[in-house]
Amino acid sequence: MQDGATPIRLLIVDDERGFTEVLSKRMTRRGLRVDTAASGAEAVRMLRTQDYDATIIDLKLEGMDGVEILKVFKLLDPGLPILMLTGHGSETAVKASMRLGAADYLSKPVDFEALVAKVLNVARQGGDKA
Amino acid sequence: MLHDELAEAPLDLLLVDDEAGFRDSVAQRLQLRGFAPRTAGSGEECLEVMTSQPATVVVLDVRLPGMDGLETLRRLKGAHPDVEVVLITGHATTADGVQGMKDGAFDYLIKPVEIDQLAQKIRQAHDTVVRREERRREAVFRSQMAQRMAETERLASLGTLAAGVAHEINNPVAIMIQEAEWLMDLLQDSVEGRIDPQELSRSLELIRTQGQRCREITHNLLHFARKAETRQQPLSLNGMVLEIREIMERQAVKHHVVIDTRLAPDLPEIVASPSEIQQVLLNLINNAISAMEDKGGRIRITTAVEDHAEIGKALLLQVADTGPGIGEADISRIFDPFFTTKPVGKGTGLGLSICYGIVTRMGGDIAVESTPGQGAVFSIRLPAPTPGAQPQARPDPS
Ligand SMILES: Nc1ncnc2c1ncn2[C@@H]1O[C@H](COP(=O)(O)OP(=O)(O)OP(=O)(O)O)[C@@H](O)[C@H]1O
Ligand SMILES: [Mg+2]
Repeated sequence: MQDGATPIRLLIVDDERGFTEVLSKRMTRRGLRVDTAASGAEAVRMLRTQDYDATIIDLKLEGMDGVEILKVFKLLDPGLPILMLTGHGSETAVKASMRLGAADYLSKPVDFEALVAKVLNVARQGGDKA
Repeated sequence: MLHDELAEAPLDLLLVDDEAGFRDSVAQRLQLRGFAPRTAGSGEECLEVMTSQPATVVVLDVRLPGMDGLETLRRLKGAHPDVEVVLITGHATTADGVQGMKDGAFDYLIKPVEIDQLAQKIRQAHDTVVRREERRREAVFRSQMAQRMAETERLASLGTLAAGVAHEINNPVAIMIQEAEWLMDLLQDSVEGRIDPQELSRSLELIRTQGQRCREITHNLLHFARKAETRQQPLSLNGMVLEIREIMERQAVKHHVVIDTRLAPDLPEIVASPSEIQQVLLNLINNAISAMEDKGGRIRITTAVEDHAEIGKALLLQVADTGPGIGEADISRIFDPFFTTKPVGKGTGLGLSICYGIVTRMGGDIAVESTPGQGAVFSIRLPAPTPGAQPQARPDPS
């Protein structure tokens, strides 16, 4: 649990809006500050204007796939912890993501508590940014 | 050397002439050229010999006492459409030769017969039989292969399909779970279980929308499954049985298996896909033949109309054999896809599962009974068409 002073800022990138919305309200209730992006372009725009302590990226997005977003994020902010969300049968993409510097991954459908735990685990604290 | 020795069907020759002296001398001279002719002295005897052991080529004198050559020819072709007949006519009766050709004779020769010419004609006639048989076998093989491929592809695509469906359904399911848990979060925080009604109805609405999305997916899936069905038409089950028996006859004979039929004369037509019915029969007969191929035996195909107290009228199609039967350990698994007791490469184990799929899709059922050592009986029951309603080709579902 967050103790309120410096909330973790989280960006969720997924084109399933219903999903990002409900995650967002549940995470917010846990004291995180959450933004969502439904496409690669939107995600990059958000990252250019805001700082985040962690991101969650869906591997399968229309237009730009999760691995591509991961690469761009790593260029823009090399220290940003990234969690990948994967479906069934994306073992190769998972491996590629981990090689490219993802902090961890979770398979869909995700368990909310497990997801929160991972976010808290990988997130850099509000203060310790470069 | 006979150049047809490489062909599977042996040249089985029958000489029909009433003059014993002439017949025997021709037979003898043909023997010198590598033939092994059987002989008959009359049209009646010829037909009799053909019923007990059919020849592939018949050399037939047109002038016979009793049933004459042309009549014999017509009956012969009627009962054994595959046999080729070479007619022998006198000088004065070449018109008979021409008429014979119209009635399906392979060719005719005029007496006195030049023995090498006769030998050549016999070989040509036999080649025709062999080629026809090959073409037929090939056609059956091709249609069997095509259907088997289609089924294998269907099973393979089922895996892909399942993955796709799982992926499609995962998203709405994830949202439903999250929304429900969100409501539980709210309940936990609430005073006396009270949740903001707006928040509550918003979540419930979302759960409902996502549930509908799942329903849409399963609906499409079922629609897809229906589309894969093959075209239906009215057909006679008895006719199909006879057709398949003809096709399988040679293979059966080769393995010393006799196929006989007990067909109900009053069997109503059913509406079904002919290629599916063909496939079912082929699979069952093939299985029976391969079960008996060591020792030979008998396959009996039965059709009947049954009256059941619970389900009403049903058509019975039964394939019984006198082979080794099926052991207790195997009998519950034989309809499973890929279950086979045949060596690798010999059987795919799909035959019976395909039959099962076809029969159940038709609303029928397939069952097996077996006493090991005494053969196996496969019984298919299909719903009888409703009386009065004329069977009609069902339009393609779309
Ligand atoms: N008439 C029968 N007598 C004895 N055993 C049988 C008979 N029919 C089927 N079986 C058993 O059931 C098994 C499964 O039959 P099925 O037709 O499904 O596959 P298969 O014949 O082994 O291979 P294929 O797919 O090439 O037909 C056979 O391997 C055999 O052991
Ligand atoms: Mg089989």
